[in-house]
Amino acid sequence: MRVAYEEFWQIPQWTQQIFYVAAAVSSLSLVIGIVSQILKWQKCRGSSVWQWSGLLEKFLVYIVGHKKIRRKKPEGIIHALMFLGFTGLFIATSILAVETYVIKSGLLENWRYLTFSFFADIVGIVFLTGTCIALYRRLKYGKKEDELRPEAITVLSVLIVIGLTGFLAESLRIAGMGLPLHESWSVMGYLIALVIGAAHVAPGQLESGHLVLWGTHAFFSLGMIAVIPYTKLFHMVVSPANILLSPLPEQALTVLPLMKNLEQQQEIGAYHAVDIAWKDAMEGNACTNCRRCEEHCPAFLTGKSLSPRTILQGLRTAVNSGNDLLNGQLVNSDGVIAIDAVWSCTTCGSCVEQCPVSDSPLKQIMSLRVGLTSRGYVPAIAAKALEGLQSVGNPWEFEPVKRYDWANKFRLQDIPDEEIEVIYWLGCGVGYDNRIQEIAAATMGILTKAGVKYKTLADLEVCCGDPARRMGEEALFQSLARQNQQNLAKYSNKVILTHCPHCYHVLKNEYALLGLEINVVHHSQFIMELIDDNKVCLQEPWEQKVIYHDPCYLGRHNKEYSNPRQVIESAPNHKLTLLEFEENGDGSFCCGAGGGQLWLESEMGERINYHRFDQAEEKQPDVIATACPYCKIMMETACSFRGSKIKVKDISELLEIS
Amino acid sequence: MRIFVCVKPLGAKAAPEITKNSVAQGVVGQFLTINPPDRSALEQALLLKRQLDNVEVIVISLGPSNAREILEICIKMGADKAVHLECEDTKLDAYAVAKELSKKIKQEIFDLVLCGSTSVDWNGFQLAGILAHLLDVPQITSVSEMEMQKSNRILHASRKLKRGARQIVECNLPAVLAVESVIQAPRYISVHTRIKQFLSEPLLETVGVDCQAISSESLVELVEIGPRRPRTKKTIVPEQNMSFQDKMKFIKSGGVSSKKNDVLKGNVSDISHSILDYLEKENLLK
Repeated sequence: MRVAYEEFWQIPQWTQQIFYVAAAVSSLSLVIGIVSQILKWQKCRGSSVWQWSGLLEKFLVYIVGHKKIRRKKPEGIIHALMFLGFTGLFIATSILAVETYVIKSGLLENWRYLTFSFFADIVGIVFLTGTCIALYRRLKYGKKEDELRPEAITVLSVLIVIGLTGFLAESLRIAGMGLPLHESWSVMGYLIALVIGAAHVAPGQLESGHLVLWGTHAFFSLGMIAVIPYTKLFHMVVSPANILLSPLPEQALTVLPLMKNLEQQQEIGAYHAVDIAWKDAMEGNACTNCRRCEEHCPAFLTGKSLSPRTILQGLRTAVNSGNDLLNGQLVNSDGVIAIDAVWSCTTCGSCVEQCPVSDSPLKQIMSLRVGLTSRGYVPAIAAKALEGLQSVGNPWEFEPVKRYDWANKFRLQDIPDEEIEVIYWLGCGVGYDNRIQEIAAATMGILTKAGVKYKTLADLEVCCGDPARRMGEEALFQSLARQNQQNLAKYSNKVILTHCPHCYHVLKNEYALLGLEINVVHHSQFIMELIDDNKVCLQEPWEQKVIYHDPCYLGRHNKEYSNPRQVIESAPNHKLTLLEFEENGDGSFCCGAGGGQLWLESEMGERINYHRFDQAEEKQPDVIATACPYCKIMMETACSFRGSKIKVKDISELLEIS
Repeated sequence: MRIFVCVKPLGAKAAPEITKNSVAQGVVGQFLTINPPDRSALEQALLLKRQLDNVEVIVISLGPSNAREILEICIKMGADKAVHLECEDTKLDAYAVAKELSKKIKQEIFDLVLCGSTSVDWNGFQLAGILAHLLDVPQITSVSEMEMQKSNRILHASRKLKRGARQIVECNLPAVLAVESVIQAPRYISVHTRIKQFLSEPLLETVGVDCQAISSESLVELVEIGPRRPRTKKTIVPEQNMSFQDKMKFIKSGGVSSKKNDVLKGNVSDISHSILDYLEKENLLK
């Protein structure tokens, strides 16, 4: 017997012809499905941003390597098994097609055939393992309205049936061939064939059994291909495409694209379903309902109406079925996404961090907010803050001269502009809240003692624009930015120092969109530099256990996790013990103040800062340290409401400097 | 149905306190507002426009040239037309303004005239009344909610009274209504609305008026605006060694612990006896 692949072993001509017809129909269905979906997406008028860079890395690390998918165990590993199995089988089938229709003979012979048989069986085993464990878990843990829906169970079962019939057909063929030894390279098939052989089945029955199983296998396989665009299997096509065309995950959070020429546009933002870009519509279909975003969303976990997944699914429904996009009493329409959900987001970025298919619910929420705000549908308290920004340049409506009043005791000498090394950007909070003044006072103390020549901009500063931009007021943000640009123009060669990660993020990443390059540094980075250069003399503080809370805009958005921790650990004799939250680093839980939430009172559910504070209390620290004024306010409010003795301090306040 | 809405523009909100440096270019500092009650009136008109068919909303304003920007914003927010009576004098009193407005409105067909209860700089509360008299139509003040009846010639207006009570007044159109508040808070005016191109040029009609003549009609003269003199409020200070929650409870309760109230039941003579007993017991009777 030849050691080679025998195509269509004992399959009669009429069956082959049916097979070809069925294959044609199936492929047609697949193509039509994909094309009609693309046509639906193309009805969306917005401008898409396609990120073509880093294709190889995206492919190898995130698609093949499953890097983000594997973060959640064991689901990620199980999916990796299914993916590797399915891809392997797809490669095996393609090789067979090449052998049968292109090369016609010579490829799958001898050692090549043996290797191929082994490979095909191994990936088949991997595939079946993955799918069977997946089905088991789905039946055991699944919820009725969701994972146990008929479509979900059917699709997975069909995949298992395809795998099983494949092996059974192969083993019947091997048994029908008389169990030749070289076929033992097809390990699974050979094993089952041995069992069949032991049952002493007649050859005629083996052949007819093989035909039936081969037919069943072909039916289900072609059927599966035909329904890919119409079922959850569509993610096999759309999700990798989305990963390839979206920014690399490390850069996914840096910056939201700028809207240009606002004066010329009568309507901006996503208010109707056709306002979104077709890439965003594709993101809706790429979402696989895996719920990783929900499991890390601070709003969802504290009972608000927001779920990042529902936003994406809402977009998908609106685009595919033509519904209205938004619903709520204010907008008087009956759409798929609730306005309350849109206003509950803290823009912490956890959803983008977690999403394995490179979707960005954050970006969609921002577009929705721009649509709402530009038409005026802002909750009343937020409207007051925005009007404050319009009239006096800060959301707390205090007069700009007061931004500097409290610092009079510092008596900054008049240093000529040429000698200034550092401009200290105070931010809006200092004029208003004495807790933030403490941060600025501590930082200025450190700067003075280190002999750094600095000055502040006093009343020339207007708000960096973060609250405006996060609440969707794009035009106000650009107006504020242009104003700051003029005032900062003469200091373009100096270092801008800020203690607020929101200002840091905006000045570093978003002003660059408007053409303004600013050399900005966060005070944790600057203080660490001073410590490293021995410009400050650190004293021993009291012995305390300090737990560090990563601010979202310093950590996730700007990847700065190490400097603030190093500042804490730099205390002499390790007097400050650094504790960590369960959810820290890039998985850190938001304090709840970002995204304009400080001015949007959310009534539902638990307060986000209380939730985070409870997480801190579990570790029993003496001090909660943070590097952001908003985080400090939120933690301290939670602390006093819980009546706790834990202190909340900024990292600049922790250091004792002589 | 034609609704006229009278609006008054107010100048930059915090002009004296912003230093010259911080008002470079850009929108910050040049914050023109619409008088908030007038804003509610406009929102009320737009609400009626959404609810009923065939409603035309015309915004009318007597003011200096910066009123034009406010009228543009009103059209961008949904009004159908605007009329700008251009007069540079900002010290006109309600009578002069009402006289001029009524002259213009009488030339048109109107079903309803809405304006704010008052303007927040003068606080006169007079415009609606004088306007109604000059137009010879009924007026209702302090309206919070409006509902048109089926015939479209009868209006039901709700007015808020104390402690949740409401009064509904029925009125024939045409009429003048002074709007106090709206059921849906007026929408925020976004910067995009302010800066986007005004494409509806033909909808804004500018009428020159004789400023001198109007000024002479003023019956009230603004003499002086003095500084505010807020009175110090007395609050009870909680003890220092109370916990935060207890301090909050203390402040919220006004410093007194709530006593259980006795509610007397029974007929009139029983109740009077109980009251007399109580007064004697507490030594309140001489």
